[in-house]
Amino acid sequence: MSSWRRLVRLKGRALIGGKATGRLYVVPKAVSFYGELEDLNLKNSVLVVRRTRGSTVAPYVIYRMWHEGRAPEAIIIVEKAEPMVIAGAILAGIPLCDMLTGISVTQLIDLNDCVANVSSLKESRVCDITIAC
Amino acid sequence: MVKLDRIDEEFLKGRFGEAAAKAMEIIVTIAEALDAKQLIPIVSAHVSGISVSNIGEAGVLLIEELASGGGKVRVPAATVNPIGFDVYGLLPRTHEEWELQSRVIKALQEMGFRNILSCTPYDYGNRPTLGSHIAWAESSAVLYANSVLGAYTNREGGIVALAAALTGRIYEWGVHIKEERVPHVRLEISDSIDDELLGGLVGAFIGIHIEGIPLLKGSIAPDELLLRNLLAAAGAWGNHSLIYIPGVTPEYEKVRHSVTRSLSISKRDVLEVLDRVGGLTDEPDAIFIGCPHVHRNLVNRILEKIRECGGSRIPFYIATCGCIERQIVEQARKLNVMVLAGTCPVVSNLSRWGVKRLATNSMKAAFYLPRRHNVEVMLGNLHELVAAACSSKR
Repeated sequence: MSSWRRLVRLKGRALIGGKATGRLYVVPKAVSFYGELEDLNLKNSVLVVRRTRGSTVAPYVIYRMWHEGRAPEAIIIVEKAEPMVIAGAILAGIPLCDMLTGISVTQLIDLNDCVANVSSLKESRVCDITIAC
Repeated sequence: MVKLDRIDEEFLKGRFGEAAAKAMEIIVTIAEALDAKQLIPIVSAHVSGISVSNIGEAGVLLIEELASGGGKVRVPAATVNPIGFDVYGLLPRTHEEWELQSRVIKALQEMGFRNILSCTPYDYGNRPTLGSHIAWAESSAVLYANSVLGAYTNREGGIVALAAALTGRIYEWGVHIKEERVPHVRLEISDSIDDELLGGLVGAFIGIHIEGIPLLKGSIAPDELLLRNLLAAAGAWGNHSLIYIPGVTPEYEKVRHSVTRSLSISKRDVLEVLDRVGGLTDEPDAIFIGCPHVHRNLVNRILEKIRECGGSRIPFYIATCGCIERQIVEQARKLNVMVLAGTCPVVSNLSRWGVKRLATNSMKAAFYLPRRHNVEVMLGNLHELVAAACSSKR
């Protein structure tokens, strides 16, 4: 029924494999899971974060969000993922990609709330993201 | 591909039990994602994320699962961070909350952790030596280990440090590799940095503005409190794990010529960070120091000063190790000073203390308290805070 105005394809590095669909929730800056993201409900969202900072409690925050049904369907770090985010994604079984190419952070903000299909392939290490607005 | 030793494979196969296998699986999966070549042995672990106010029931179940699966500490030194409440019960807590928190403590104890309940493990016997490989969580302690002790650790997630403790292994990646410890940018500070609040502001400035490993140049007072505030602030406001500090970092002289990029800043630049915190002029309704935890000696020195002026006129909170003696805590209470043993406002249920405006000397606390607890933070150095505590009784 709906007609997409725009289709954007992005590539990144696959860290934790899996497929997911959700609306983009874009955080265009450095952010700490602990204290800055922990209270959000990101179910049915694909979380896009420029890079992470702050507390090493991050894996527990991600795991707790998953346990309470509030975790994002996939996590994408625009720059390089810190090990603690990888740990959180492992515990919660969430597909994780990083090192996004072909788009600037400013352009990403424009895609907020668009629907993203994430296909993170551990074998080839390629993460394909298709975004429809 | 990660090259696994025979011992790593045996862990994965469950030779050392279910929990050890799960712990190894976590480490190997991260190692694969990071393209690490191999795992290396560690001599120390420090675990964060044990406060129930942070990890919730989900985290408690996870830690209990590792304990009931036969998880045992396999490193010479393994310590844990503060919990959500003080051990002597000064802070408000429900029976259920304390029960949940006690389950975490019990599980950690069963596995062989030393429950110091402090974010400064280096003050309590977990003080790794130069060049030793370790796995620490707690961002401020990671910076202290790399920058002051010259030990090697990445900013590990709390559960990763736990997994490393149960296996004695971590991925060879990041600052475990000598070449990855080379500084990227020289940060020249034209004014002298001489108190802990200014130190914290420099740390926050680094966290916000500096990418890569910085090498500081300038006159930075060799003061332990200043150093701890600087490092803790950088770990909260940014994601650094190593900062080269003149006269402090053991490898400073060896690497100082390898920096190519340079940046000069003044006191005015770091003071701009204060604009992000705000609320400096109003009257606080409580004072807090101890982020990172202050050592027992400093607790006693502060108590001495407050005793001299006849007690603090507003509640004065000092966070320190869970090992502080009850006697000190009880004496302090008479002076309106709450010595918080084994916790701190950041990881606690601060919103229930009835504090709205908190004065502190910690730029790390200034990052988390407004974000986690909706508390307004105002800043002063230790000297100013003690003076504020004493002022109306003079």
